[in-house]
Amino acid sequence: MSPHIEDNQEIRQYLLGGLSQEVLRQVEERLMTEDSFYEELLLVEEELIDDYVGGQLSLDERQRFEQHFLCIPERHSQLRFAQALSRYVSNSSEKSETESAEAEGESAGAQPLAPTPEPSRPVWFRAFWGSRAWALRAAVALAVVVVMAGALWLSRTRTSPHQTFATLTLTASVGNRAEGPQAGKVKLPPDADALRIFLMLPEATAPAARYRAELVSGSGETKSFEVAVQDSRSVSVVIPSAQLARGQYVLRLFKTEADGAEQRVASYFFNVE
Amino acid sequence: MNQENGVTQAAFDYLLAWLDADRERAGEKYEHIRRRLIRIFTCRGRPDAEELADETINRVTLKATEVSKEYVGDPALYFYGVAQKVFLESVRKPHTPGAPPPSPDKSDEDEREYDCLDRCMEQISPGSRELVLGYYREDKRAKIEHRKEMALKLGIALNALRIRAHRIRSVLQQCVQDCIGQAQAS
Repeated sequence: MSPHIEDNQEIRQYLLGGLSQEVLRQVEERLMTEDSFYEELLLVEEELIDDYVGGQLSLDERQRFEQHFLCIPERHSQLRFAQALSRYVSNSSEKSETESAEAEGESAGAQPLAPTPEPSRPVWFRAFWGSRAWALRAAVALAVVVVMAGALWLSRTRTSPHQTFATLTLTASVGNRAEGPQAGKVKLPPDADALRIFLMLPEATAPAARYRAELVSGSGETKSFEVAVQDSRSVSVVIPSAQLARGQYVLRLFKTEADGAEQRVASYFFNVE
Repeated sequence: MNQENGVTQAAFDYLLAWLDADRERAGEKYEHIRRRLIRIFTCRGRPDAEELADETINRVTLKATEVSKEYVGDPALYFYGVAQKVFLESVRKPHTPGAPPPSPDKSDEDEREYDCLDRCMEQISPGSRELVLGYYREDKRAKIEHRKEMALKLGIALNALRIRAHRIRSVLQQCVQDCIGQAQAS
């Protein structure tokens, strides 16, 4: 590995608070005495923020970024700038792609249309449709359209891919709310379709093939949600924003063992503000 | 020179002389050391990084006359040693925790930031604008390949392109901060 890449990775871990005391001291001594190393830190800082904005940090890195890197107000302004820059560049790319497409369309010019060949139909098609009355044909066609529209509508309401997510990472609580880590808080943006919650599994939790999550609201209402396994230390749940009114919630995580028995894993508290 | 903390002009002059015989170069080294101390305290999670850096410098200044006679090596490392002590003392004192990270929703602040960025983009040269738009354009794997192509086209090494983009970005960031400051003042 080249020295440059090694420095880059070491600095990244330094920024995320992931170095031992000894290595931290060595890094800081280099920062004090080597101009190029200090410049590299400034570059890696920007790249780390860009990776966070672009959703390219691992779950562990994202947690450490939010808990360690972002605890300084100065870095909030760096983050806001990075978000604005990302949005600006994205809008600028879309605009230039649209303009290129329009320019290509104009320069293509008029071309003589080749005669469209008659589509050849199978014999059974001609035999079926040719021999039936017009009204019957129309009724069958309408029935097919209605069935297809219904199927499309059903699939959209069940599995409509959510376009915009808010995210929240939660650590398991021990006992009741008062004993464990502070409840997570989230303020849902107006354009967020859903909240994706990453649940950190308690240490020494044996992995399971299947999980289930139960969302309990402050009013006692309970709903079940599918759980996606992220990695050996976390799972995630997606909850539509429409089902998250302001208030306190607890997510109970269950796992299904090989013998089919269900076991509670942990509870996670959070507030929607 | 602030005499409230016991640092006199004479002590400060002695410090600069220790850093470098040439006063102008000494001043540059002083600034380098101060910026790095601030960065280290920031990276250690201290919101009062500037105050801690100044405290470190004050303590070194007060001791410069005796330390400089026997100290061998880069004075920056002596500053670092004192900074370690200042840091340990500071974590024992209660301090106001940092503010939570900004929420992801598009608030008025975000819109103002975006508008300012739009204006600042118009103020930089077309070449710089094109470089920034190109450099930050793609995602993931495509980004790396795209940047290699950019560097090749410009006839510079990839790291040189990286540094160029960083410098333009710093200019833009300062411009945006100034713009936001003016908007808030008016």
